[in-house]
Amino acid sequence: MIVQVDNLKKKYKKDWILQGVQFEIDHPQIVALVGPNGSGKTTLFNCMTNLLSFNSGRIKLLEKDYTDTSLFYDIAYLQDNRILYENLTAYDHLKFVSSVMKLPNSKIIEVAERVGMQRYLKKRIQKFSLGMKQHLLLAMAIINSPKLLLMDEPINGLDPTSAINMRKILLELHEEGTTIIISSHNLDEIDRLTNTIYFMKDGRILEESLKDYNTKKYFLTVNQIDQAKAILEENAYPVKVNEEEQIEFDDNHTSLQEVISLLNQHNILVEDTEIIRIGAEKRYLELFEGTNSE
Amino acid sequence: MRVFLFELKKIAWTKKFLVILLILFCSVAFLFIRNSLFADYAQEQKMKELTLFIETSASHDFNYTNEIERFGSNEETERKQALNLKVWDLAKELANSFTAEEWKSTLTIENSLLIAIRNYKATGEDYPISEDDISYKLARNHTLLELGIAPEYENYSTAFPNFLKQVVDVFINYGGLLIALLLVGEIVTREFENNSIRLLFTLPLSRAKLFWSKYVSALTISFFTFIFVIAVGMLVGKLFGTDGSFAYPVLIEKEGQFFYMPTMDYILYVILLFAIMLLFVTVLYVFYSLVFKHLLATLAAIVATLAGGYQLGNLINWAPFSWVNPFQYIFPQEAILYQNNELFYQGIPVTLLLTLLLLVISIWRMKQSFD
Repeated sequence: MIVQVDNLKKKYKKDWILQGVQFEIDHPQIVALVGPNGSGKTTLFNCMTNLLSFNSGRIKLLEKDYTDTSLFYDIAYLQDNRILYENLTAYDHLKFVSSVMKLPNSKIIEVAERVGMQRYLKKRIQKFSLGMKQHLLLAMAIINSPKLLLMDEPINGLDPTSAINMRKILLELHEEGTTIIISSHNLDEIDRLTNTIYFMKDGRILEESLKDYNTKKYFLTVNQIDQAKAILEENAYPVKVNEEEQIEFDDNHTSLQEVISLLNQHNILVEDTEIIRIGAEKRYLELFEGTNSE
Repeated sequence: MRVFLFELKKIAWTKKFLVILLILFCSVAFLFIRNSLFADYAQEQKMKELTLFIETSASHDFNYTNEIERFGSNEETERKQALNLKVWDLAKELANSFTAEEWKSTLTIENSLLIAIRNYKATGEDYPISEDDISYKLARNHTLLELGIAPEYENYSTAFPNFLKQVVDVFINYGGLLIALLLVGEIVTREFENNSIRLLFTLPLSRAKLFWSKYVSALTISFFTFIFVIAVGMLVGKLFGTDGSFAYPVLIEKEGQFFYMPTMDYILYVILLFAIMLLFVTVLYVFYSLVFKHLLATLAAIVATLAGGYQLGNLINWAPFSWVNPFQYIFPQEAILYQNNELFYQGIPVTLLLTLLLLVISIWRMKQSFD
């Protein structure tokens, strides 16, 4: 088991920040944590890395207790850029992390090239832009090719080119067997990275979270809408008719080919087929519309 | 070792540290220049004191003469006048011999003068010098004569050993701890404030190891600063000062009596006590940092603790209290110079024990995850 979080509860002052968070990851994958500000994403990361205490629950990472500091040879946590030392250079940071990880110096150049930050390796952090800081944080996080990578808002402050590069690196790491848990408000980017999304609200992971979801939704315009609906319902297809008089269904349980064949068998003409990707954003809006972000 | 070096680099590579070193360098140089320029002023002050004695004795003599003229001869008045005359004569003699090269005879005359003043004051008359000052000067002069060492101005000496003592005194008593606190704050409290401690907590480093790295690097940087000050003092004193002697006596008050220790011993003892205090104050600072995680709150707490502890030490005169008072080395100079009711080393065990206790508590606290 890569991650086991069991009924995690965390109270801060009078508020319960985490109210029984529970999830498991048993094979390398990219998991997105999505939720409004204050939903407990960062707190969850901090508890998992022993930065914060919690009231009850259990955390095991890579089959070890979460308090075992040797875990950090295999786990990296990309946090916000306040962890950087303003008076030191990017090289100083990477040199320190690599020496703690007992890595050769060549890894520093290697990771800097991979992230694309060779140009400003010897610059002090106080002269860094937000994007440059994110690059450094990423470089520090992946220098040891971790088995588990926790990322709290890594895309913040990145320009499109850097964001694309980061996505490429994350997908490469995933290919190499790294499990990535990423929190982000950039839902388009999440959609491009993963099909597994845990939605967090009020300190809980919602049951409606998307686990390996199929990302398509179909809208069929037919010549006999009522008859088409009746036939599909009769055959136990979970479809509905939307306001635009289209047959609407997603591909979780229903194949487009099957539906079209069935309708054709009953001489119903499918005039138009529209395929829309169900995005994290759409599901997010379904779940959180009307929720005030703090 | 890696973490320790990283911690050192974090502080040594800051403008703040460089500015502190520069200020310290300038301060030492300024102190030497001041001593050189004010040597004449010190002489003038001494002459002024003598002039005051002469004027006082002249005025007293005039009063006695008047009194005898108005009320007739009186044994008591005549005795006082004779004693006053002796003081007057010796003061004039000292004023005349003041510029003489022969320091031994000057000190001998000064001692005679001080004894004469003491005898005169014993008749109940006022004189512009306190009994404490008389005792101190007599003891100092006797010691110098006994050791055969020429006197130096206490606050304006350019003799290498005396200047070095002055540098150590000024640094330790006026800012040594404060500078150490500012530097330690950068290594410990600022990390909590900026959240950069989270980087260290998410690396494969044990929290105990992290604590030791921080504590030892904080001590190293404080000691380095102190050594830097001493080195600058030695450099300036050796290059531009006069030779002097490290056997120059530093007077110690013990149960109202004066004893002396050589300047070298004094400097070593002061450094020892300062080092012990630094061990204690640094761990106290780290402990408060772990509790408050905020620079100003930590500084306020430590200043309040030290000031409170110092005041408490002053209030309690019970002799055995020295064995349990860990705050007696806030000003190490005082602990050595004034050993009334206590000996300067009595506070060492309790200070070290408390340091050890705070180390254990702080490591335990560091190992906990935070709320």
